[in-house]
Amino acid sequence: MSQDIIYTSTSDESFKNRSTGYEYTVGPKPSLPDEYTRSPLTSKLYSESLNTKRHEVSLAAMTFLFQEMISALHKECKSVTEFETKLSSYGESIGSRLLELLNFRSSISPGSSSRTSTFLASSTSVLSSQTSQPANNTNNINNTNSNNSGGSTGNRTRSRSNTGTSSKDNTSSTKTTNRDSSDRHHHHHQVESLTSQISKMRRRDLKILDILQFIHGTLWSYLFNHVSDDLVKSSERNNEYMIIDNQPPLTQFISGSNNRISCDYFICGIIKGFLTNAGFRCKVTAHEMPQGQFDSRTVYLIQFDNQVLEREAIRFGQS
Amino acid sequence: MTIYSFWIFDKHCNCIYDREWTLLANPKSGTTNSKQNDDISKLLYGIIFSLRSVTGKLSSTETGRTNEISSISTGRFRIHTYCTATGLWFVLLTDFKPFNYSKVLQHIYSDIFVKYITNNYLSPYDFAQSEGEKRGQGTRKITNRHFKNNLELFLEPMISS
Amino acid sequence: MAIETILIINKSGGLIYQRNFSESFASKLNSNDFLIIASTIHSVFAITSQITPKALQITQNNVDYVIPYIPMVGMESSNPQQTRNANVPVKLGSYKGPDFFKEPFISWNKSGLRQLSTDQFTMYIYQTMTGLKFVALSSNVLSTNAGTMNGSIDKTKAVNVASQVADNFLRKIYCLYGDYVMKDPFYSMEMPIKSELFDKAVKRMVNNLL
Repeated sequence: MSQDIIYTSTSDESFKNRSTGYEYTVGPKPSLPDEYTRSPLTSKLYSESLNTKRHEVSLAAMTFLFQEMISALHKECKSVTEFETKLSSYGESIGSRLLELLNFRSSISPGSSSRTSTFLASSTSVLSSQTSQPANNTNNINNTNSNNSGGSTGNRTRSRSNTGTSSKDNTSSTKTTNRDSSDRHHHHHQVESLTSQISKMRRRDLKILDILQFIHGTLWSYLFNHVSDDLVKSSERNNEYMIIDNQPPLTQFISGSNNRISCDYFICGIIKGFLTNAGFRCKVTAHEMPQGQFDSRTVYLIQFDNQVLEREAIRFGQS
Repeated sequence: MTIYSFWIFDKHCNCIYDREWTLLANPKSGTTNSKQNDDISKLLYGIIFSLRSVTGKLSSTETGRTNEISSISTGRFRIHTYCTATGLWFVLLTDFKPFNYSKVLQHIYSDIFVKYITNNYLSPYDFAQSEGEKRGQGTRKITNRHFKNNLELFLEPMISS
Repeated sequence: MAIETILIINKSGGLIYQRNFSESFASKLNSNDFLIIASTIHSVFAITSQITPKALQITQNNVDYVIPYIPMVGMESSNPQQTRNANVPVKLGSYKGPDFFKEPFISWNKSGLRQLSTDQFTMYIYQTMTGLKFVALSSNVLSTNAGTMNGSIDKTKAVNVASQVADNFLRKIYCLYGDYVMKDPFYSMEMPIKSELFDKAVKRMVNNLL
């Protein structure tokens, strides 16, 4: 028997050079464009216009990033509580920023509400909404009146329809950007002039219920593109409120309910950071409460400090 | 349907007959009895042998039900097997379109092999040269002219059609 | 197509996932048996490419490796018995739309073992670009009565469709793997899959397959 090495999964050299897919000796081989006489399969993905698409962060990309964060944390932490505290602190810095950002975005006057809702439709995408900002901006200056539908930020259906019209305008304005690079500079000036669009700055909410509503509606819409599934006040304790998510998107792929709940502390951190920076000191924990078909239904329990309740009682009177 | 090659293995794991067609347009092309000690025949035997052990494990325990391999396919070709009770394997390599060749192999066994080899007193019954032969060297091949001719005649219409 | 067993074999031949979906012949085997079966399949898979017939090597004819997309294989809506969630759109993890993919795809399994048919079952193997193998054991059997030399074309087609359905189905299992295994921070690569979410999703898909 000749003692050739069997290059597993190849038959001869020429075949080996041609073949695509996984080779045991060299690893995966990508297919090259000239490899087939036929044209490669075309995916609709490549022919679709990016401009007409809503700006969204890919859930896959987001979860991969989240996964790396979790495993890095998991390696360095010795106990579950340490892990949860650290993950929560990651979320807090995001939450405190969001307090600023979302209040600012909500204060853009109703006349340009279409733009506000475009931001929100961009869901988790901070980056893409920023890049779309210049384009939207010109669009709004030109079309403020035509887009004037006056919808509030919470009005999801209306904001979606607006997104459609405004993004069409995006197409034309981005084209001009490409034609003349100096235009881009011009756009940046207009970003700064966004302040002129704000007639009245939105103040942060001072009442517990108001700020919880803001989290339930605006913050959740910004993060996950839908309002949270429920906002409940505890009947037993005065200082406890619950925000409920039936299917937490970020942790939906994590197996083992205990593991998943620990990872939900990232969202807890965002809520905590948001509330603490707004002056509501609190503790936020995540709990699993499956109900019906929602196996991963998660409850974010918010426990306010007593001083918050006392302040509320003094400021707004007993209700 | 297209046929690429035909093999017979005996109970000692030796290849006792092989026929490979290299040019599909020409049924006379190719080689006969040249690959007995070639890697290819051993690999082919190995594949079928390993998969038979897999299917044997995965078979139902119900009595009277066999779990013989009928075909093995890759993206380019398909291997059809037919195993007899005496431990002979008839193997046919064809294109990968799923077509059942079990009757073809059965016919080769019952009408050609039995007729010209088993019923032939001058042909050895066991193709191993010595009694102690287990595997490897020292095997004879089927060289019977009638067997060859009839096999060619039978398979010729299937080579490329 | 009734799926009996699903195996996932990693690129070095180790069995990382195995589930039986019915009380059939496969359920009496222990995990060690399955490990042996997995590594046997893995090695045979590699060897099959070695025995490519000469005629094929010479002609290099371009075999079409494109697998057509077969709509809604293993999806909720393909099963008319399950209409309870008709108003709730099924969420497919990070995949959008009603199905995991909608386009035909090129099979990466070009020279390796693809299908094994016996008297009792048919085994389908789907290999990914990275060498991961998804194996499905179906109790459906290639029809044996198409034995005549000019067997009906219809039957040939039906078997072809079965292998295409299997490729579509296993590719969807691969999609699930991409979501529930690859995106689980507590999974370590090449190790056995223990995610119960993946388990559940696979089970649901197998049940939807009629």
